[in-house]
Amino acid sequence: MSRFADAALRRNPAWAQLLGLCPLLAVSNTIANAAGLAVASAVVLIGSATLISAVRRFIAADVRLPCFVLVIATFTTLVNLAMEAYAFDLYQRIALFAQLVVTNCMILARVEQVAAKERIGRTLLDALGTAAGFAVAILALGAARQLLAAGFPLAAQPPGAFLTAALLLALVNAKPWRRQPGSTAFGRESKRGDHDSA
Amino acid sequence: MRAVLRSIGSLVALTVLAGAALAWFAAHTEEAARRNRMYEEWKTLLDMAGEVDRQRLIGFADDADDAPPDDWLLCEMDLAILRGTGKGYGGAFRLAVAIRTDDERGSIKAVRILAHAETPGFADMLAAGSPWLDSFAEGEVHAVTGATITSLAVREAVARTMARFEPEGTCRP
Repeated sequence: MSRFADAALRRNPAWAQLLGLCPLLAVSNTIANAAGLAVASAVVLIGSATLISAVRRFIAADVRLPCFVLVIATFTTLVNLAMEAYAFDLYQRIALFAQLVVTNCMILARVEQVAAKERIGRTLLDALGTAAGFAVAILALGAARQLLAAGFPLAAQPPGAFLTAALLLALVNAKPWRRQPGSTAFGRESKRGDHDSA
Repeated sequence: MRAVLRSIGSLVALTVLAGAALAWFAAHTEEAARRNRMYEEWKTLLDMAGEVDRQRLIGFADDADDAPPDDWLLCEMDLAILRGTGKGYGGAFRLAVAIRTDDERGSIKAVRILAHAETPGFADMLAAGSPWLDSFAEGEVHAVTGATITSLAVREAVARTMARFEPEGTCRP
């Protein structure tokens, strides 16, 4: 359980590692869109990580990255096909970013760092935690933007995404939460090596 | 040599498995996706028509084979909705042009893009209700800076579709 909480909170992909910010900013204009992308990303992350963990012994180290991208692209396409068939309204609103889930470095990072090395049980917990952390981040941003947009229409526009995300990031890293240097509202921030650009 | 063969084997096996999974799933979702796209197209065409009987749309939901006609004549409304195609910057696109049949020259009532592959962001002007798309009904359509190829391609496609329209012998006796 600590692995789940660790992935969701201390290593929150958005607020602690600043990963996957492109879809986070682009599709958080409403809670419904944010929830749709959170579910799509979760299915791709959990499916890809579990499958790669299951077959990791059969994947040659030299070609592991093309293999990982192939699996992630397959799950992304499956999710998009399902959305086009069973959630067409949502598909029309977020199709572009649902297709770009394949390039979300949050997913490739968890696959490379965890799924390629760990057993299925641990990988599944990590993937569930990361997906939950991303969902919390994007839903919080979506809710904040939708509420703010009632009084400040800019919040629903692209500049509003950056401003609201910056405010939430500042809140998460606010001084009252910091018990010791380097910690955030969710716990101590990740080591230098864990940080990456989105 | 063995490492190379293992690498090739990994990639080939995963590619075959991925291809099979995608083919199987695409075959199972194809019909539902086709119905969704057609339903959406009906909605666009009916919005262009305006006051048309909504029963057509409700009826369509129960009959997926009832595809919108390429040339849809609504004589009781003095309207014809023609569908056309063109090639923009990102690839082929499809559009519909609503033409007033009570006008000798067949003036444009509305233009809608049904499907396109243009760059998102640059293609905002192709969305229903955009001022640029509405300018077709006003008769003066300019090329759009930053999306010159797309805007000129749409203008040409609308002109080609309009050229197909023959007011004589359609709705008039």
